[in-house]
Amino acid sequence: MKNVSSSLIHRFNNQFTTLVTALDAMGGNLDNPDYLKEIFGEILNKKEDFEVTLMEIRSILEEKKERV
Amino acid sequence: MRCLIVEDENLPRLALRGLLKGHEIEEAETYAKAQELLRTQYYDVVFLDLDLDKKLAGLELAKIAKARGLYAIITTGHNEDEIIRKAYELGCQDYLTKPITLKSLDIVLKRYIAFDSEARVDELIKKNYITYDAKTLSELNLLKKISLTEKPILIKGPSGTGKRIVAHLIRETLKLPKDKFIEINCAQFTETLIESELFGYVKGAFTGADKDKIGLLARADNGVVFLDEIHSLTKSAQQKLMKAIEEKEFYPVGSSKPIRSNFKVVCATCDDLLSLVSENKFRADFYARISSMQLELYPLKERKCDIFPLIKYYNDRYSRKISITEEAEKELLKLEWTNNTRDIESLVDYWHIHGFGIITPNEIPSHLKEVKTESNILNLSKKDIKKIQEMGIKNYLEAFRYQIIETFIELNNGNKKEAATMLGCSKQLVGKIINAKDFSICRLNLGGGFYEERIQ
Repeated sequence: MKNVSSSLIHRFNNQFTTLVTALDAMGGNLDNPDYLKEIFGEILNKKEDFEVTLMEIRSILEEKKERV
Repeated sequence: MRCLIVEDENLPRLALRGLLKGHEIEEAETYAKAQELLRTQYYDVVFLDLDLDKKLAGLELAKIAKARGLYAIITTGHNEDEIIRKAYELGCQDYLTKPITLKSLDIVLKRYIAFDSEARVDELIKKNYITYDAKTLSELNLLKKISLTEKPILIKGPSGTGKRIVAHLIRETLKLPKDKFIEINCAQFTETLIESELFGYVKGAFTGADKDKIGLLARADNGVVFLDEIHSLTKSAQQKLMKAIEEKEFYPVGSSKPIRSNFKVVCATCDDLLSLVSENKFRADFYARISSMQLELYPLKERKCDIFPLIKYYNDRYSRKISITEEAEKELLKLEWTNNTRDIESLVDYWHIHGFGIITPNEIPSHLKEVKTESNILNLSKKDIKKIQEMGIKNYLEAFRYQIIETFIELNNGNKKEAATMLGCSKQLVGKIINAKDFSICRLNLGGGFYEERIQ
């Protein structure tokens, strides 16, 4: 069975927690459209990275499911 | 609050900036930039990502932050014990694992406020100035109020009592980078040289001035200028410096273009400035300007409880150990310690150079044992004696009291309330004495010499 590598866990953790922080920051800056625009742009820039991580995790989970 | 965010990725950096809205933020994306900012700028709180363009670079940066006395918080996804321990060992104050939220940030910022309060100054004092003497500790407590005032600070104390250490403590209390603490020993310069040093000069101001020179006051902009041995400053330099302190503006030698600098002044002296004022060797107005906040350090003979901790401190610098007998300890307590801590340092060095292991009274050099006998006889001049005989002790003392109060009122530019505070008495008492009639007032030059009599 393919193992979840520590670098993948680290990457997932990093991306997911950053998103949580970004959401909190957006919530505290709802009155600042310039900031919201800037941070939303950054989240969009990261979208592909998030997708890659998600695909990797999905493939590991599917492989695990097949074995079961 | 001034914060530095060190983070190589845009999104987390931007998110943290959003959480810290309302604070003054500076950002660094690389290890090199963060290193430069940490070494040259001042921040209240520094957020350090653990991995930058260099792995675990945050740990290195935490070390620099610690050396500068800055509050460093590691922000990371790592939660391995070994890294956490290393981060705290190297100097971070908090270790935050992601996600960083408003709630987690609020907790660490509150911790920073507590860290930055009086406890921090207490810790600084404890680490840098060895004393258990209540009187000295109470004087050092003034450091806690230093950041609240722009007024000059005067450190008084005999040679070897650590005035320079206290001046450096002021720098640390104010969290100033080293290059914003400009130190000068006034005794080392002639009148013209000290003015060139303090105010700078322009090219052609005098023979040899082949280029402009920035003065120390200009270099101390947003920092501190520490004037050691201020009693050596000439009256002319005192006058110019006083104006510069008041206006935060001065002219370099040979220039008609003023320079503005927001500097804070810390002075130190081992001399009695008030006596120098009464002898007309020091400007009364300059004294009034620099002495509103005073910190006094006491000689070792007045704080015997510090003798053994200081011996231990200097002795700990050697790897070889010594043992002091009870008899020697008793003897050490009796010494005058004329040069204060310098005498202790020399004594410990002497013991080690001579290879003494057990210290008995015989291992204390004789020059330290020469106890000066204190005389109870006042050093009165012939004129003083004559005056006392003429006036009688009661009137003489009244006149003496009047003159002291008059001098303090003058030193405080006519402000009786401030004079009373400096004298440690009530404003009413000052008023009562200064307005008193029906007694003889004489101008006494304490210690002898000129006096002038005035009968009301």
